Amino acid sequence: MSIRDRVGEESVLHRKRVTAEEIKAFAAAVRSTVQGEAPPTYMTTLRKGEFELFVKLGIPLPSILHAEQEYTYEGGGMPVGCEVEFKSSFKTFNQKRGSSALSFLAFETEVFRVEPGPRERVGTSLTTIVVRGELQ
Amino acid sequence: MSTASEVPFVSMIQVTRDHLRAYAAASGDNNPIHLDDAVAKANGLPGVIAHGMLTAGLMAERAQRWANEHASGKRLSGFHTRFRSMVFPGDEISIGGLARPGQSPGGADEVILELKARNQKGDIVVTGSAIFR
Repeated sequence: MSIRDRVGEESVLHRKRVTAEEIKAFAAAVRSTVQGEAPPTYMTTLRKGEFELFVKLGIPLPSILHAEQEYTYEGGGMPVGCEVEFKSSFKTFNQKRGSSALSFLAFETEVFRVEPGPRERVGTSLTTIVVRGELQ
Repeated sequence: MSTASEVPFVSMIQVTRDHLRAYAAASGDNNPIHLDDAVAKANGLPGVIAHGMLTAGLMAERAQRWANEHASGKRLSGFHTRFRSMVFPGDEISIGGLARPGQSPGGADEVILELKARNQKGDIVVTGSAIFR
């Protein structure tokens, strides 16, 4: 099966608690002054499903460069102590052929806050990566 | 806001290998091209490069600080970044751009920031936009 035929594959559903310690470390790394909730790009810590798909698709991590990143935010964000569920899917595949061939792959991750309830979507991440060469 | 205005460039960080290790630990992105020169070189890079999302995180912070002063009461509803050029240890990253009024498809008033991150040579390394609604 070619990689193009695998568009639509999904990761398993992941769940995690957003702890004060993790937010503090992430906020320090990006110089964030946001208080009491996760900084906007904290959603990048929820890429476990993407990494899982990289492995399933046979893409070595060191060959990956990040090309583009888009987030949309809904609801009340991710306050300290909340629990979130997230799942990633392989959305698109495009290839630039030739002597300097490049492959572009996009992955979407949907994030839902599940505790405290009710279940609410807090955002969507769309990650586009580029890999040198043609992927089969 | 009714007219476009400048978002002044502010120096956000001078990247060090310690920053890359701290960001890797905090984000869970342990791709060795950000941590190990040998792996980076084996993959055609001159050495370790910064995580694009480190610069993106700094850009989101620059946007939020501007919004706290000029668009209070509005909340970030969208953030987009495109990684244009690599960032290396030693690079100093400044971020600024323009803010302009906008409207959502549903008619809500928005403030849209169009931002650039540049290194100490003036090269644009990341472009992005942040929408506050």
